[in-house]
Amino acid sequence: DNALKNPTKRRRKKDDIDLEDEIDDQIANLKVAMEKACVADNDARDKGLAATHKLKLLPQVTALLNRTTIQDSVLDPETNLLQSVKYFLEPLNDGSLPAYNIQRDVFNALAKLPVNKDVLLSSGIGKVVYFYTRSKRPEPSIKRIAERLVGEWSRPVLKRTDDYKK
Amino acid sequence: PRDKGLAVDATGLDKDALDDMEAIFGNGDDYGWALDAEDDEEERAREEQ
Repeated sequence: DNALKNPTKRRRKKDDIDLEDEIDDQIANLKVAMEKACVADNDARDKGLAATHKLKLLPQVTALLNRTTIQDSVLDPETNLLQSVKYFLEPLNDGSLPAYNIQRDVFNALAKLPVNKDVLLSSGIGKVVYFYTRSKRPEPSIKRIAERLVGEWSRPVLKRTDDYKK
Repeated sequence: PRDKGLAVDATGLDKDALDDMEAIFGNGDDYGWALDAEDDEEERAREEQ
């Protein structure tokens, strides 16, 4: 009965759910592609070839990370897109870092996301970001973002104890 | 040799907060192999000079 009185409202809700499912599928597919690209880049490096697979996928990755309307899905610890983002930033088997464009675009996207403790714990992204603060290889501009992120992400964890004392 | 662990003042932190910090940022060894590779490379470059 309600549906008849207000058909548009109901329709919209269903569309929202469809859209959310669609985005989750999109993220899941991208995650698979990202992980394959990481393996392919490592293989290429081992053979002395240029690592281009991650670079090719980068526009898709940043497009998704920068879409503000789907942040809930991007930061969902269950979807765990940030885990694949972590793989993207990891050093390759020979210890070299991924291409500068990957570092720049991904770090800039991460800096804009409201990353919370749950997704930090599920993704492990903090470990690789912390690595960038310690490595001598990244450009100073990248290191600065990494240092800022470590500071921002640790604040809520450390603040809890401060509150405790007060 | 490089500093291990996070550059935070651990005084006054309870164990839960420290555990969370380690769970989130690792214990400093997660990419130790890459940092070692860096140091080796630097040393080789220095020897070649």
